Order: sequence, then structure tokens, then C-alpha cells
Amino acid sequence: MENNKIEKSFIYSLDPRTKMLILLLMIFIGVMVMDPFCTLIIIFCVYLTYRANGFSNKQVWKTTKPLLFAFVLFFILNFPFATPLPDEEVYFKVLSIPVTMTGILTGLGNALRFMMFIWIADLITQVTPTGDIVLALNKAHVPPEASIAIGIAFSYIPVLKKEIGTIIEAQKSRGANFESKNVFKKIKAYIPVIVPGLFISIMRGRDIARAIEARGFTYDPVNRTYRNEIKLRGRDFAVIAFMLILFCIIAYLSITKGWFGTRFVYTLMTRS
Amino acid sequence: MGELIRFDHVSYTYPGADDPAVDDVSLSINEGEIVLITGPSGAGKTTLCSMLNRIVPESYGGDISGKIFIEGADISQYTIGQMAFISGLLFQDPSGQLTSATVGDEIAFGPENKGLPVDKINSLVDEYIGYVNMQKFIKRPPQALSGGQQQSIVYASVLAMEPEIYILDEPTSNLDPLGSDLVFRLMKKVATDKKKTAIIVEHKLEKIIDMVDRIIIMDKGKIAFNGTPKDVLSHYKELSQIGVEVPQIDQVINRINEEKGYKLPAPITLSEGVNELKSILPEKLPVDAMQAVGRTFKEPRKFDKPIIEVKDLHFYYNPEVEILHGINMDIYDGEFLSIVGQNGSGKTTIVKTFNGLHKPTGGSVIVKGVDTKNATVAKLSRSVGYCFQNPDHQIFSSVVRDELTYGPKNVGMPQEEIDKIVDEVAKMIGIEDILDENPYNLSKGQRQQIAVAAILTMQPDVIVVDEPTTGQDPRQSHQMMDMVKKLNTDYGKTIVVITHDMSIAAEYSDRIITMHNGTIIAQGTPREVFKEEEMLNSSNLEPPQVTRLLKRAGITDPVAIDVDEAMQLLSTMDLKKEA
Repeated sequence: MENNKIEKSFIYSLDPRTKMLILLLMIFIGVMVMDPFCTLIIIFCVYLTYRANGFSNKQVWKTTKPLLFAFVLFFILNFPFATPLPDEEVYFKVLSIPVTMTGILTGLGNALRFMMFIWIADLITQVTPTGDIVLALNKAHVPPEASIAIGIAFSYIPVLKKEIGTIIEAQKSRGANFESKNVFKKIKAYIPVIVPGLFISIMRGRDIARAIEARGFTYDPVNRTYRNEIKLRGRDFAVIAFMLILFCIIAYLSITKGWFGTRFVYTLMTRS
Repeated sequence: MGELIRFDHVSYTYPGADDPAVDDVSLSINEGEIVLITGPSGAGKTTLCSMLNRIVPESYGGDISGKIFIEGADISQYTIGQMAFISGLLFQDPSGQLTSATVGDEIAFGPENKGLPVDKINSLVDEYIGYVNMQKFIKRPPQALSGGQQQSIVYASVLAMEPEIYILDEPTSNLDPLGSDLVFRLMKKVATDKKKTAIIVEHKLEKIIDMVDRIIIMDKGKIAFNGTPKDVLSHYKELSQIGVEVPQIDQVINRINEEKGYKLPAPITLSEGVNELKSILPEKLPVDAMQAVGRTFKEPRKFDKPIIEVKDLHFYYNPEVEILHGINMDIYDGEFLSIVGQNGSGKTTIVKTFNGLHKPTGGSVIVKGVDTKNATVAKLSRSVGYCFQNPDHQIFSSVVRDELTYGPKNVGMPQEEIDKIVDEVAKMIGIEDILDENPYNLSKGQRQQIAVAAILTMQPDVIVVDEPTTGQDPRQSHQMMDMVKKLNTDYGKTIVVITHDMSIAAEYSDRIITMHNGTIIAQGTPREVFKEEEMLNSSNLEPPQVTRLLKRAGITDPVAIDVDEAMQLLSTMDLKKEA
């Protein structure tokens, strides 16, 4: 039911090229905006986009949950490397690394940006059917051999996931233990999963190659028809215009006025 | 109807192979004909079919000689791309043939490749999706559908290319009985409605024989028999030597012909068989003599010591969709048990609770006195070994011996003991000669043996074998089952086989459990279960053909579950002279 809502949503109905542009511009904006508070506002806007386009809180949480560990890791790994301002107050030291406001803001900013990138990428992929990706690639003059291969690869992700699940079960049934805390042991434990996984993927690849040949793919690939058409409509132009304007404003303020730096909002708050 | 396809002294050898896969074949197929090609694995059936759309030799290379003509034209001048729209090919595994993100796009893929206008493509999609009755799935990803549904979609995709010749290469070997019926019914419909030529490669003759005009039997690259079903099936002895199993009704009629010197024609359908049999049965059946013979029928062994106890077992992945609804059953030490049921009936789910891959969400599973809730899969794997259907899901070593030691090492067995067990198991399975080989260089049958051996080295008391005969020819199926049976009788292992092949279940099991929608609907000896035909039908299963033949001919007590038993019952009667 939930997926039905998503398929009827505004963002789903956009042209795949528009969606790709949104993704690209959001990545650029993410690169420019380093301030954690501003990033938080963008994340909130992404959340609203999720919710307005039929995603339930449960679905958003499913994407977010695995990110939390990486979020903490990003925060911890980033803040020691931030150069504090001259004479900046050192709150305390952890393993002789000074903890300063710049460090905290940098760590927080980077961790939040990481989360924002994943959210945006997740949102855009979830609202873009794989068939549309193939069509967008064709419009970009990617040869049909490559675009169809990419389309097939996307549709096979769930199939391969299932195969890997079966392999893990088969090896567990032979006493395999994948729960080791030691990273090297863990990698070694996965060899009995990776080897059959590769073997099965190669076999499947061969089957598919034979199947698409049997369905006439090599008949005349350049002049083949595409049943589904993609077309930029009014709503696409509106979204593109909005995104470009937003991007230009942020780029202008960031480059000429030096806004959205790591300490941008913090400085504003402490100044007053 | 004129000649459509002609093979003129065609031979083909794969690159690197010593012997030809197809050896001097000359053959003619007429327009509108439905031809069944069968024969043991490796007989050259698939190669022959793949030549018709030039995948062989174009994609494989190799040496080809002789000529193939379609509608009088030598096809060596065409590319695979051109041939695809003349000979449409449907393969075994539906999931390996899906190319698109939605069902609608899948069906459109072929017509799009031909560069047809969009309107025409859309009308083809509408026509053929209706043909396979899958309209409501048009926007769904085909990868998410069941095997039978996927094969229907791939079938519709081939149909939408509107080729002159349809080639179906073992289209049902990965499907359950319900899925197979679906595909065969569709084939029949296309053949009748569209008056196209169809070539089907298939091992399960029983389901398809009444739909075909001609049977071609291949063996070692050559054509061994070529004629109408009645002609070919009357050679049941020669066929069984080649490794082709004729339907049980034909085995019975052929054996009557042999023993009595009759000339009854080989029946094609069950009702034909029933009528032939009825025509020679005496007016009054010798009830007492039949009962006396019935008492000599092999009685399954009885066991009473439970090794696995399943009590009110419930299981779900998602609380809203329960898969197992309160299962109660015992598995006895030393028995050979078959669990039957259509796809989705819960067979695999239930056996996965035996070794802890699934933990019960309600009730309990006790293995050798241990509640599976309190034991790890690794610990349970020493009591219950689970052989998955496809050996390629577990084989990863470059040497067979290493593959066999993986399990015991995981559970911390000392090296000395492991070496001893590996040698013992290799002897048990008969793979001593290949212990130092690379499993990936061996045949699928050998890899399957290795997979079973790798489970045996864990020294489990119970061995679960998941669909061991899927996609195999009759001879390979029996080899595999004989090996499993030997583990049961000679080494005392308790065997649980999951299957939908009823004659296999009848032949090997002490007991059969029938599942339907996550519940057990019947359990008992094969004879007890096969008596309940209606109940089996409700789960889309049916008793072996010979059981149905005798029942419909009026011989209901005792129930015969294989051809030998049927012949013993018939031997008590004074059969009438054939009409």
C-alpha cells in the first residue's frame, strides 16, 4: 500500500533527468554548506519531501537506522582533524586531542552532510523506476548495449540478494559463524559466501546474455524502439528552475560572502 | 502442411569437446506440427534446439557441418538477431530470462528490439499478457513473481515476438506441478489458436504426451526414435535402456502386451489407458486373490522413536502473514520421510526450523531432546544436515577434500578425526577418486554428490534433502535417490526429502507428509496418502499415474503405488482377449 502512495507522488511523476539534476545539485549544495545548523535545515526539508511523497516514518527510519553507527564514526573521526581557531578555548582533551567548538562543529557538520547525501540518494533512487534510468541514459546517447545492461543490473539486485541469502543459510547449515567481532576473521568467514556468490552471478550473467540474444536484442540495437517515452513537462521545468535558483543563491552567498562555513550560525548566535 | 524445418546431415562439436553433441542428424518438421524431443541429459536436445536460432554455433563457436533449412532457406546466412524472430526460444529457468523492470516492459522487449512502432508494440503487449492472464501484474517487477508466473511472462515475451517456430527447452523443470500445468496448458492453447510449429524438450512425458503430434528420442547426439507417440511409446524397453521413462500407463499396457502376447496400442491419455485396461478386465474381479497379493506388497517399515518432535509450530517473517499454522508432527529415528506439497505450502520453511535456520515464533521443535530455540545453527547442524537444492549455493573450495572438511572444522572437530571421516564419507558416497579434483571441473551430478558428502562429514543423524530431483532426467533422479536411500538403509541415517515428484515419493519413502497452505493435510504410508486422491488434488498434487489408472479401472483395494504392484494385481486375473 505504501509503495502505491509513492508511485502516485509528485516527485515520482517527474522526468528521470529532473531527478538526476536534483540529486546532482543537492550534492553540490551539500559540498558548499558546511555549517551543521544549515545542514540540519536541509535535512529537515529532505524529510518533508520524503513525507510529502508518500513515505512513511517507518520507511525513513529503515534507511536511517543503519546510518547511525556511521554518523557517530564520522563525528568522532572528523573533529580531531579540524584546525581550531587561534586562541580558541579548549574544553578538555581526549587522548591529547583538544576538544574545541570548531572540532565539534566540523564533526557534526560532516556527519550530518553524510546523512543528507545518503537520504537524497535513497529518496531519488526509490522514486525512479529502473526502466526510467535506461531511458534517461539513452537520451544522453549512451549506447543501448550499455544502458540495457545497467537496467538489467538494477533489476537483478533483489535476485542476487536472495541468492546470497540462500548461500549464507547453506553455509550456516554447515556450522559457519559470521558473527565474529574480528574484522579479518569476519572477512575470512565470508569467503564461502563470496565464491559461490560470484559463481552463481557469472552463471546468471551467461543465462541472461543467452536470453536477450534469443529475444532479438542483436537484431538492430541502434534502431530499436523504446515503448516508454520520457518527456520534460511543465512541472519538470518548474522544479529545475527552483533548484537552479536555490543553487545559485547558495553558491553566490557562499562564494562572495563566505556564508555557510563551519562556524556560520554559531558565530551569528554568539555575536548577538 | 508443407515442410518447415529440415536438418540435412547436421553434426556439431563444441569447442574443446572430443565427441560431437549432435551427430549426423537428418530431420524434417512440418508446419503446424507439435514435436516433443526427449532423451537423457547430454543427448544433444538443447544443442539441436539452439541451432534453430543460431545461438549454436554463433555464440559458442565449435565445428558445424551439414545444413539447416527453414522454409527452404539455408539459415547459415542469418544472424542470431534475425533468427530470434523466426525461432522463438524459451529456456529452463525463468528467472534467468528476465530482462526488464516491469512485466509490461518484459513482454515489450522482443518487439522493441525489432524496432516496431510503439502502437504495434503496445497492442502486442496487451494481446499476449491477456493470453497468459497476467494483466493485473503488468506494472509489477517480474523478479518478484512465483516461478510459474515468471515462466508465463517469459512465454508471453516469446509469443509477442510472433515467431514461426516456438522452441520450449524444458520449460517446466524448475516449476512445481501447478506451474508446469500452467505452462503446458498455455503451450496447447498457442498451438491450437495460432497454428504455429512448436518443439518442446521435456523429461516429464506423462503431462505432455497427449498434446504432441510426434516424439523424437535423442541419444548420444543421434536420433534414436522418431514417430507418432503411439509408435514410439510401444518401444518402452528400448526407451528405458536409453534412460527415457515412458508414462506409467504405457509401462502397464506394454507389459500386458509382452506377458499376454496382446497388441494393445500404447495409450496417450489416462482415459485411453483406463478404457484399454477396462476392455480386458474380467467381469468379476478376483477379490480374494487380489487381497492375498495385496498382503505381499512391500509394507513400509515402522518406527517409533521420535528424533525430531514438532509441537504446535507457528512461524512467520511478518506477524501479519503467518506461514506455518500450528504444525504437530514427529520424525522417527531411521525412517525415510517425504514432505510433499506445492510451492508456497511451507515445506522448506518447516525443515528450516529443524536445524535452527528458522526459530519458531510459537510452539517448539525438539531435536534429540534439545529445543531448537536454545541451540545455535552450528550446534544443530551436527544433528540435522541440510542439503540445499542447488549444490552451487554451497561449494566454494578449489579441491573437493577441502570442501568436505569445511563443516567439521567449523564445529571444531580435531584434524585426525576429520581426515578419518572424510575418507569414510567419500567411500560412502563413492567419490574417493575425485577427492583431489576441483569441484568446478566436475559435472552437476558429481557436485550434488559433493554437496551431500559435505553435509555427511558433519555426522548428522538426520539428513534433509531439498528437491533433489529437480531439473534432472529420470536416470539421474534415480541415481540421486538411490544414493540417499543407501544412506538410510546401510548407514541408518534418518532421511527427510522435500519433493513434488509423487512417484519418487512412492518408491522410496516409508511415510509421506502432505502440506498445504502451512498446515499438514495428510500423513501416513504412501499407500494411505495416495488413497486420498481428492485431498491431494486440493493441494494441486495427484497420486502416481498407475494408482489413478487402476482406481479408475475399478481396482481400488488394495491400492497399487507402482507399476510392479499393478502388474502383480493384474496377474491374479484372467484377462480377456483384446478386442
